[in-house]
Amino acid sequence: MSTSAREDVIARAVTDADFRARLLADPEGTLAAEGYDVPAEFVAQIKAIDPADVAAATGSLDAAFADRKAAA
Amino acid sequence: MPGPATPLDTAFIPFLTVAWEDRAALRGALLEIRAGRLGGVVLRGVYGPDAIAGLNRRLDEGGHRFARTPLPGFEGQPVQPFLYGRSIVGADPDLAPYFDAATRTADGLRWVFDEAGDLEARLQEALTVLSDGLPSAVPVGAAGHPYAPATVRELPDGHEIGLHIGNAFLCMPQAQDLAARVDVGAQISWFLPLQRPQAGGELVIYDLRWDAVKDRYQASTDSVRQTSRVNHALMELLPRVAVDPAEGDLLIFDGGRFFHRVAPARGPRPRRTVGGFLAWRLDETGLSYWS
Repeated sequence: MSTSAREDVIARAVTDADFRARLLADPEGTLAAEGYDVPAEFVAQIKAIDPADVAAATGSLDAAFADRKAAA
Repeated sequence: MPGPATPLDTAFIPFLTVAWEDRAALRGALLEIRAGRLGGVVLRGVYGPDAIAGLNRRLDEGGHRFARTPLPGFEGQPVQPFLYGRSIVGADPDLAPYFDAATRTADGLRWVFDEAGDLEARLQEALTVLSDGLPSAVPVGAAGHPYAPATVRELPDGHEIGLHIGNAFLCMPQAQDLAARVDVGAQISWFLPLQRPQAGGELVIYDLRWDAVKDRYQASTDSVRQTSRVNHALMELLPRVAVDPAEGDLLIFDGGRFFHRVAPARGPRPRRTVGGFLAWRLDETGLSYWS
């Protein structure tokens, strides 16, 4: 999956509430129905998002991200 | 002879960093940002440690000189992230209260920066180099009122600035006066840290551009303007970078084109920055900056 395809999916998800709800409820079915050819890894990442409990995922920078932190 | 500009390790949004005294090495960098070939620049040490300490003392003593306003969405909470001044982003479309606060903000900033070196003069000096010679000033509204040159943003422990993108400002009704004067559809963000928190508070920039969302964004009533945490979690699946300039550094970046947020500040010392936005005037004769 190209970076632009990933960007397309996320761009639509964050601006289209209906698509976002369907994507989170059924990632594989929704992406297939909308014509997105995506790898299992990306589907797994979406499945891991729990809409009821996402604060921990964004409240701090994880270790992998910290490694990529650019010290200005 | 200016020193070489040092690139940061940012694959999708390249940055250049130089010391303030070497700023000539970044001549024309704003043109590169505007063209999408450069993500941003960091000018190190625009204000030194002693000046920064003095600025924070002055702000502590003179906070009453500003109209203190909570960041949108945090009204009524016991501990609020807030602005010294009032930003046009959170302003009512009737701009009268904004312009009243803008005058106080400009006066307050002049007092706070009086000993350390005038903020607007320092910003203009940077912008002249970065734009390869253009003048810059605050825009003046339809009724002859100047916009605020900047605001100071303070984030207490646990607070953040949610996901947003600068060019979305064009969709807001309070932008229309400014849109008649400057190219707010291609705006650039800037800030200068005055006080870093014990942890957190980094600027997080995502590899998602305005062009990818603008059509849906303008039509959507459920947009990333709501900065939901579900949207945050989705954005975490994209490449991203955190930038964390030091106190006294001036960061100018393509916040109009790229989604970004500020991670929660952690610890008893609030994150405190002064900043705003800038863009080319519609007649291309110079730059305007505002908050």
